Amino acid sequence: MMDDRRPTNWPDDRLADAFRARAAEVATPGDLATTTIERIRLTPRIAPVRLRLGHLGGLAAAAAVLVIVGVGLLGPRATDPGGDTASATYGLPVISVSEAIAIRDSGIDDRELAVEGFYASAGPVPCPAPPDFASYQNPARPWCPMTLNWLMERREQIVTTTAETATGRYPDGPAFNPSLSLVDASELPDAPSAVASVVLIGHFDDRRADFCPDDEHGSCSDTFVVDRINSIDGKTIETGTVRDLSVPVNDTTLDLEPARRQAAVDTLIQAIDPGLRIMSRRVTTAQRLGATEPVYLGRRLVGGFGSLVPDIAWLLVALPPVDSDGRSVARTFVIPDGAPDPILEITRNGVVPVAIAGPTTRPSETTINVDLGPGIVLEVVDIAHEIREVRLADLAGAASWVTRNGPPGTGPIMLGRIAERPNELRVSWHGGDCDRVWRLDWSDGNSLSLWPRERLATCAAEETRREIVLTLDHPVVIETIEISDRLPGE
Amino acid sequence: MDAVYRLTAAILGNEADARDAAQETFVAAWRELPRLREPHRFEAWLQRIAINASRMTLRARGRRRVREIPSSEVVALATHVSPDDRPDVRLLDSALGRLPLDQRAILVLHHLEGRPLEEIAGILDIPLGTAKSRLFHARQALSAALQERGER
Repeated sequence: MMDDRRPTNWPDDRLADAFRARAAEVATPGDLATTTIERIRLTPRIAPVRLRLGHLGGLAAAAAVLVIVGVGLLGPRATDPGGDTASATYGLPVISVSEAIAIRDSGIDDRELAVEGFYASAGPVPCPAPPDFASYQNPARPWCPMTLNWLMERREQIVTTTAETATGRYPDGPAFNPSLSLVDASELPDAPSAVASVVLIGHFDDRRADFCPDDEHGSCSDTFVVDRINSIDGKTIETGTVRDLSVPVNDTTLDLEPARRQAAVDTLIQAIDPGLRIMSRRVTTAQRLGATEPVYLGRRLVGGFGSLVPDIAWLLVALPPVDSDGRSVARTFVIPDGAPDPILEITRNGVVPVAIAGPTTRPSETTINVDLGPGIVLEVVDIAHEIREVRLADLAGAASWVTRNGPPGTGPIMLGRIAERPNELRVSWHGGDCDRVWRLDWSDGNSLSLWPRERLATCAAEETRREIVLTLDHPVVIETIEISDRLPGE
Repeated sequence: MDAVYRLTAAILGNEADARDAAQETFVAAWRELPRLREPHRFEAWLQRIAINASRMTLRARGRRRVREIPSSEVVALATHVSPDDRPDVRLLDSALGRLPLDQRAILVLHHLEGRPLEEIAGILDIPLGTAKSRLFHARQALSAALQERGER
């Protein structure tokens, strides 16, 4: 109960009386039960979760309370999800298109949904550019070509082609237009006759709807914004990175290269919350950030951090673990490339800085030991967290090489690459049996240090050629790799 | 159904919105029932859905420029009781309309439904301290709104 410091002069009983009198003036509409039953009859239920036996009694009681809305409620429904949709991905139950539509129409919230269905596109069609084109780039705003793509409950052919014509139609069954603006959709079929079985993860009620014109807010909120293409025809799709880094230079274009590597960006996201799972990545010029994030239209990528205006930004969508209600809402992070640390999160309330636990500029190191020969060890320290494997070189393929100077006394270091193995970096150098421990540091995505850490004092063995292979998580460009010409501590 | 409608009507303050929110509450509850983890807390779960449905209804109402006025409401307006007939009700009605939905909800749960703070915290899925703080601030806001209407 409130104490005497309560801020209103109305005592509790007067307030309660007023509330009760106010409620007494309201009568439940007579047809509410009937119309609600009709709605429920057409509403499929979500895929059931596993329940402990102890819950069943209480659940039955809860169901009984719902049945009060009308007799016959448990009659035939439009669809029965059955057991086929009970699988889960990213902690989310996989639901059907009609179930997703029911959630959309209930307008509950922007929780993430994994929706299984059939994808078809009316094919590559030139879309007219409206006068205010920038505002139409909002991923939530239904516009060509989004309105030509369908996620359907049933496999349907929406385009009929003849030798001379192609005729499109709307799907007969439950369907909606998914927005694919945030993801790499290149593996989805775009031929008019192609239909693919897919699982798309995304959400309705997207925050970007607030940037739609008032009279389109409703349709924008109803857009299913895809955060991840989870599978196509049963094949799980790896989370890739959409690159939008071309800039015009004179009469041609140039692709910018981000300073941060994908692995380093992923590490930053994990530092925010280890439970976050990355759904999509985009690396883009800061000027084009507004194409997917309308909050940045006409605004610089500053976010309250002074005059920092980087040319490139990473945009990542990540999903927290589902809560006790089975609900999870995707989070969107902006990482200005090359900036010291600031990570921003785009929310319904705007762009806010994100606190990170622990170091952000340097992920912790991983050390991999490799035997180079009897009693000789190479310590590979992976500062960038990009090395997947280290092994002694084999003789596969013809490598192309560049030669660089190593630190004083170590001789030249050769870097090689085999065309068929783009993620492999070959490192070759000379070192005799006197050098018992070699150390190789890999950092910043393209920086390598190599030096003998322990050397026998009295030793005159002949030098031999050593060669190892680093398998990285990204393609290697040996020409851009820098080799430190200083020993550590210098 | 009466209890849910009473809650949504108390929060939203008009028949059309309360009706929409109540219907959405039952549809959502039907659909989400398999996810109910604590069946013994069904009532609190249903009330939480009703509050969320009210929030969504209010948001949707904000999006609509022209709202339909059901005929029953028109009749109610035409046969409205005198403002002096139930002065506290009219004042409360007017003051509540000036508060954000979350404040209306916690006031309704406490003063209409008679829920103690521990239960309110459970319904809203917030810590007890947060519930206390929210109720305090809601009453402050209500007091200010009542004062604006000339009541002290």
